Amino acid sequence: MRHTLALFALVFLFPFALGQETVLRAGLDVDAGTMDPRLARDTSAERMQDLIYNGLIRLDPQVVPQPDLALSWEFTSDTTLVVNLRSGVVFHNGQPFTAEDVVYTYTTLIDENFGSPRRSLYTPINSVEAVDDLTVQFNLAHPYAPLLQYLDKGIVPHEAASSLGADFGDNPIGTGPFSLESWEKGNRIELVANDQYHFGRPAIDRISVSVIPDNNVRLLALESGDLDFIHSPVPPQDLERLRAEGELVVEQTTALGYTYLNLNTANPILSDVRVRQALAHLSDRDTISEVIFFGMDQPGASFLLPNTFYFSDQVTTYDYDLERAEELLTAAGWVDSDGDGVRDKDGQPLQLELTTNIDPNRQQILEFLQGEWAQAGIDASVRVYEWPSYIGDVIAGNYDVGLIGWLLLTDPDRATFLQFRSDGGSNYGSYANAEVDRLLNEGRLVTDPEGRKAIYEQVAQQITGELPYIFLLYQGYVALHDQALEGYVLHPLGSWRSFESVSLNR
Amino acid sequence: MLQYALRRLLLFVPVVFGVLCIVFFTVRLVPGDPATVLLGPEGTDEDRARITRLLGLDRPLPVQFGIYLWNALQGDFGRSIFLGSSVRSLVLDRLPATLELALLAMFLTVVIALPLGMIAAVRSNTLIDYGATLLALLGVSMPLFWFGVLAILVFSLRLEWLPSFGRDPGLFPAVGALFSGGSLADVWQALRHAFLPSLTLAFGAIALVARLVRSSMLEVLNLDYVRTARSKGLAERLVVNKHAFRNALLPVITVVGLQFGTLMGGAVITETIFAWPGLGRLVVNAISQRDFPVIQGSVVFIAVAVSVVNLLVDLSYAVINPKIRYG
Repeated sequence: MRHTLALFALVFLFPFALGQETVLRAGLDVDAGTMDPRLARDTSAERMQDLIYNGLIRLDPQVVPQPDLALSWEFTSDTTLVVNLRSGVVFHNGQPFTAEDVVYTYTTLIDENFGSPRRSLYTPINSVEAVDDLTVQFNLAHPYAPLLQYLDKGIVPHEAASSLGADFGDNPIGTGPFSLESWEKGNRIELVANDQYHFGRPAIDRISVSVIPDNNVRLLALESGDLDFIHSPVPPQDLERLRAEGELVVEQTTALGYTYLNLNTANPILSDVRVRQALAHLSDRDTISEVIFFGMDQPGASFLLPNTFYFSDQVTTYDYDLERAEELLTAAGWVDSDGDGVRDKDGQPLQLELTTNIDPNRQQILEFLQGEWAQAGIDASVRVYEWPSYIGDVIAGNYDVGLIGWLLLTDPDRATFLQFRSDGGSNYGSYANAEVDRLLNEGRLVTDPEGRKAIYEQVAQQITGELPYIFLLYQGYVALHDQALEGYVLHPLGSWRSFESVSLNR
Repeated sequence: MLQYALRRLLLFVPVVFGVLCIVFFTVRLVPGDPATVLLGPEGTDEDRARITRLLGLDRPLPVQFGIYLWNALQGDFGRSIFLGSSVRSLVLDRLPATLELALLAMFLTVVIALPLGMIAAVRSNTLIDYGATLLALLGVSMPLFWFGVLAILVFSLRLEWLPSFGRDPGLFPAVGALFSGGSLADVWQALRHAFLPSLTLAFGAIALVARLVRSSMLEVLNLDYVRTARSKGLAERLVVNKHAFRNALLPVITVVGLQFGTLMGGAVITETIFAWPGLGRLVVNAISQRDFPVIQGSVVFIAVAVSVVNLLVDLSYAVINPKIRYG
């Protein structure tokens, strides 16, 4: 009888015991390219990094560095950063975390032959050394204020990562709240809670991530209950309906990115600041935000992003003003002398090509601007093509007006240093301003946050006055989830780190 | 027949080599390169040069081709630039998903289109015929992505009969697991996941094949030997099923075989809508990132698969019509 009971319990109760595992089912638009944080380049890889690894620091929702694997840090000189590490942390494979792992992670990151796509953020680091088991020292070539913001890279275990080599990206080992159980590429990622997690085992047992490329289908999967959580990109036109229905939680914030028009100042038409200002007056950011993005992306003003420490509204803004734009164009010598509706100067018509990559919302923006600009006598054409060819053209300077975006701007330096210095690597439009050059160099040297804030405010004033960029939108970040998910903290980087402390109360 | 098959197999070598040459050089002719995409707009010239060198893309084209060919002959198709994994494992991981979808779609095509076309032919110019024609017209004119999303809306969101996305588990693995203690429930689960994508994929083919069967049957039904069969007093069912159908089948098999090639490489839209981890999506993503090794490797695999199916189709002619002989 006892055997029968035991068998009964085994057969009938065991599945129930298994069924109690709490699984968070999340959807992503693209699969992670790699799970090696040093090689991460897409947002999905960053999301996996949030779950599998810890960095020295983590950026809180205000984008301020907080201790993670680092307990504390101190600049002992302008070019020396000493970081004290947490003790008693272990990797998923049971190996203890030490200073050697930090040295290894950052040494490979800056190694020319390693191939990290984000290497340029770390090149001011000359060397990293272990002072003792729980202290590391970063030696810099020159003062580099933004460094702390970039020390959130996941730390990889020295021995395992070096012995696995290129295969480490498929077999990640970190110290994070979850470890990788299986990865069916292009389809599903299964992560399980890390029992040894230093900051306490997560309340949920498992995260099952499905890769669903189509934005509408991913939303349908959430609505039909096949998923618990999805985030940007989501179709903006559905947000209002979802809010009204109230069945899902809709959370929205500004992300760390902006969408802008890149004006090629090497183009003779666009080299005149009055023409650039006229274009800014003709680009109705409010309408674009409301009509094309349904308020998901907000009207932009500069590279200083709302909800960050460095935000400032002390910049030049350009309201939609057709008359003012026409005055500026006339003052620049562009008038419609032959009465064909298009302004001209010295026999040359005012023709500009607006270009962007294949993306329905971006294409809508350009088509909207084409019509608006035509009212002021500008003959604008629109060309939309695929990303690799497009970005190649932009980098080579083969464009008039390009619609692009910058992402992951965790520091104002990252939004400006390469973009606006006259010899900056991403200054595609050949913008040159000696004062901006000086300020941007200074922004890297000054370590006091208030001092830096003042510097970048000055840069923003220069840039919004001279307009190498027309800042159209602050990008929005949206997370949608089931009511049962509690404790999720919205993060402007789209970080999933707070999954370590969420619960599912179905 | 064996000799013919062997000769055809030998022909695979120049076919695959030709495909490889075309793919290798055309992907490099297209504007945009992997280093630029990898680094994005933030990349500096120095970074791009470094990555290009690390990828070996700074060497002269003939040298790159030589190295690639030499490695490919040894079964090494390189590593994906963006996914890190070896191209061989990427392709072999995706192949079952694509084959599953293509075979199920072929199955649905045949079981739906053949009867539909036959009925339409036998009852030509009746309401049934018009109905079948209308269905076929819908099939060719409804865009896949629209039909797919509509199917999810109806069957997953409203009726809650079928899952909305994904391959969970795969049909092949689930069937394979039956031999080692797997459960029928898994196979059922796999079929539930595969049903909407394969129906979506098959929809166009069903329309095409049904129309073809109808016209081919109508043609055969008007031939002399069918009249003879009828005048012998054979039952109409025998005339249609045995005499006419067999002969009407030849062009249909050709088209169905060709459809298989389309299904193998052209399932991209279906795979994207239903988040199906197949080869089509892998190739299209690779193209949009300029992931040269993945494009090359997968196109070669697809070329081989299509060649094999074409060979099988040719061989099946002889089975269906004994008058056709290969030697």
